[in-house]
Amino acid sequence: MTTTESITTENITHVHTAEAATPPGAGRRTALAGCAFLTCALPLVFGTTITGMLLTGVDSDHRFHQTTGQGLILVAFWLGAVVPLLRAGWRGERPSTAAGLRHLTFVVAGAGCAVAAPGGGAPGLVGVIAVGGALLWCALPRRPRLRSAVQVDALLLPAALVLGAALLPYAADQLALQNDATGYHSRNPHFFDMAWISVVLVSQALMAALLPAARRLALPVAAATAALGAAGLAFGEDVTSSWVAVALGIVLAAAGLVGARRPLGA
Amino acid sequence: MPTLRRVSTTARRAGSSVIAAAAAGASLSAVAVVQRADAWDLEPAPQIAVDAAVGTGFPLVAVLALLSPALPTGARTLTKVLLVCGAAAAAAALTTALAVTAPDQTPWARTLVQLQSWLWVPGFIPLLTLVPLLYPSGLRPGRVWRLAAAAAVAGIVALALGVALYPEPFHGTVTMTKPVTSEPAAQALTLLAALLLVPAAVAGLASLMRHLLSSRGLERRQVAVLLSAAGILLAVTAAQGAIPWPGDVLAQAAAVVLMPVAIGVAVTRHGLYELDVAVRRAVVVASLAVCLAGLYLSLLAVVQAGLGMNTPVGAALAAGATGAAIQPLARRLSAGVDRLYYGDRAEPMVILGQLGTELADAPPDMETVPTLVCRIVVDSLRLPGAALHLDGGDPDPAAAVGETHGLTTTAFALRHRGDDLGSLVVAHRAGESELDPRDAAVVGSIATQAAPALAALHLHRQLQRSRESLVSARESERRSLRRDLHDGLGATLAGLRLQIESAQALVDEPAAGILQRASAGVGQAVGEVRSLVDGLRPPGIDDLGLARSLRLLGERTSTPDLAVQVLVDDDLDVGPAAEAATYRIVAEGLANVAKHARATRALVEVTRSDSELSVVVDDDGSGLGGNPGDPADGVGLGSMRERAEELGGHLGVTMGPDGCGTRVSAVIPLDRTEAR
Repeated sequence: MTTTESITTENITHVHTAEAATPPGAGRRTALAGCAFLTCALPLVFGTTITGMLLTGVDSDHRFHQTTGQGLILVAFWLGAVVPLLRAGWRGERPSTAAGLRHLTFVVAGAGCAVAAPGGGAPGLVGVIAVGGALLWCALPRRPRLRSAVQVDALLLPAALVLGAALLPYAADQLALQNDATGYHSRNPHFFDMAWISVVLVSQALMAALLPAARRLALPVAAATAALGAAGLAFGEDVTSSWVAVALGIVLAAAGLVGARRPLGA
Repeated sequence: MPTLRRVSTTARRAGSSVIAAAAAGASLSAVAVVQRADAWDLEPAPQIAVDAAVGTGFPLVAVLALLSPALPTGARTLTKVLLVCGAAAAAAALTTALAVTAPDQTPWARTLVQLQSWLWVPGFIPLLTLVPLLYPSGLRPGRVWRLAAAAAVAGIVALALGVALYPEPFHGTVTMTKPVTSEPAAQALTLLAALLLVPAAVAGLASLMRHLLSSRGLERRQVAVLLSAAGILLAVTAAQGAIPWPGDVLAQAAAVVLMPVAIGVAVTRHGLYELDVAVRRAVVVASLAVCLAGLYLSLLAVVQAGLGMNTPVGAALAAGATGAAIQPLARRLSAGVDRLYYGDRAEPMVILGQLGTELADAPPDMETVPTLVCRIVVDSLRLPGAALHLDGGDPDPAAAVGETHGLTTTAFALRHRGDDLGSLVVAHRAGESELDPRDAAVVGSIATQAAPALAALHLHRQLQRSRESLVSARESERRSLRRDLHDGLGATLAGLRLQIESAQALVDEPAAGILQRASAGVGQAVGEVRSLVDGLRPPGIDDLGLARSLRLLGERTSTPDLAVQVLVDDDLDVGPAAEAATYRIVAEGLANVAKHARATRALVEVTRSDSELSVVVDDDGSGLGGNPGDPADGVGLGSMRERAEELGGHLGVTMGPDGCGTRVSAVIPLDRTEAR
């Protein structure tokens, strides 16, 4: 037997196990339904209440917060973090890496901000979200794969870091305000919410810029950032900061779209 | 002489770079002067930001384009216009800034006022006239376009003189007047300028529209890019009143800069590989700079807020961490920009792995392999197009993805076990006279890896052709045999039987009994020959022709509950193999309709084109119910499909055209089955 023959005959056969989606059993689906109630009831009630307040003009001097970090954007990211996990679990599929990272960044950013500004019941809220999220991950028939190759997007990364440079000082400022707040704001942690959503936006933008598996997070972040700026312009916040947020949203969206389409050299 | 030309080119580039640097410096200085004097609220000041954007962006793009030695003459003229526009806008920005902040009405300040009043004209008006005329590759041939360009230049000069001489006060820190004015001359020159510039602008727009309508592919996209940028600029300009300061000025400045960026991108894509390299490097540098600034500021915010270190130590920590990130960040950004331009070229193993995976997962139809290979080449390397030619005398490619026609191409031989299978032809990126060696290495590897699969396709095709030849030969042979049996042996036996019967009438018993038995035996033989003849070919097909046979078949299948209509051309002339296959498919299809479909109407339609025969059997029945096209349905679909496929055709079963019933449609190629 020649060397070539021995190499040919000793090739390793890789056994590939296909991941076919199998519908989960009744017990698993019951657990998922319970988790769906635990994780979605609060943001749905929250979103409905905030929308009602916006429509009826209750606390009208807080419309910026109601529209953004305390309200609609927060609810969108909250539901956006759990619904893809629930849907994939119900179908028996493995949730995408992006869905897993979206949920984790949401919870971890909330936990970090709650540690930095523990007033106003923030730790309790984040605790409920974290426990519900943990139960959801346990109930999933297949958990998302979080290990993913790093591949920098040369346009998204600078946009994400500039977003960080703009929003992290703002988040720090909001956390400081929350810690110093008295009266209404000490019981109702608007500032904590704004810091939380700011950190979530920066985290998810960075994930999108660094991980190909999380690129799809860029467009929701871009939309939320632009909405944050537009709400600031609409409700009388600082004009320059609001325009910067709108511009960053547009830049992030453009960077995400350029990265997703046919490359420039073609 | 070549040395002199090189020196001249180098001098030109150096001169352009100096002008661009001076323009950028003047623009930034103008902004700094107004910022230092905090004079943004004065009336002329906001325009300085827009002029500064033009003064920075236009020359930068022009210099980048002029750096290329392969720049066509027309594009060179366009970039020179951009350079002049930028220089004039930069001068307008600087003179306006100095005039706005001038504390007294000195002769020097009044001279600045005079200068700034007209310098914007050569900075802006060429965008509406000369740039559309010259874009994307120079002036169109023809006297009309030359006249339009001359009118544009003359109009710009007239308008610049007109607005320079117009007696208009300048409201800076102090209100000033121009030293030289003449209202009658200004009005006459402005009128003259309007008469020259309006037709020139219309001609420019017409030139762009002609490019857009008459061109295709890259050139059309180039025009579309410029028009998109112009549209954004128009929209932003129209929305100026609705956007608060400074958003309005910043938005307009950004929109103005989009114009040279669009032109630069278009010119870059039009064929300047050297410029591509420069632009890629510039993108890496800009991206790295922004990343480092963003990272530093983010870390500083975290350090200051998280650790409470609002001191130089905090800044030093942030700077140190940022510095540590420079090298890996630069490496990854460089790879990212390369990927942005050229796909996975830097990672050939990824491409080959993808090829292997897709070949393994490919559908059973081997004809998809050439398309798959071309698509991997185009998608992975972001090349304009790829085509795969297989040997066999066919001038058309076996598969093509993207555009190769009219582009510079390189062909890679496809070889397997010493046999030439054909070639993989890839189109170069626009402007590349040679395929980049990295691209060539990857395409060569793809060709090598794909060759065994293409060899299998080659064998598969040979096998199919052999099968088709065998079927055609078999049918020809059967027809010949049938004719021989029918006209030869059959006729002989029939004649013999007549003779025996005649002899039987002439003799008595026992000879008559023997002859009667002999006659019966010959009659039985005649029947067996007839049965044999009918089994060799579908009944009536050789005597009546395919069209008539099908109509008779339709009549035989018709019942009071089922109306069968057969549409077929009387002159239909196809080979014996196609005739037999068509008849068998229609017969099987009508049998299915009668047995299973519970239909009231069936339609058989047979049509031929130059290269293929189409056979359709429609009914309005209950449909298949199960999985359409599944041979396991047990209603003869497998046998019908086999009859089509053995001639290189295919058969499909779908729902009927109006959503109910069943449609069986077969296509049989004729070019290979015409052997009669």
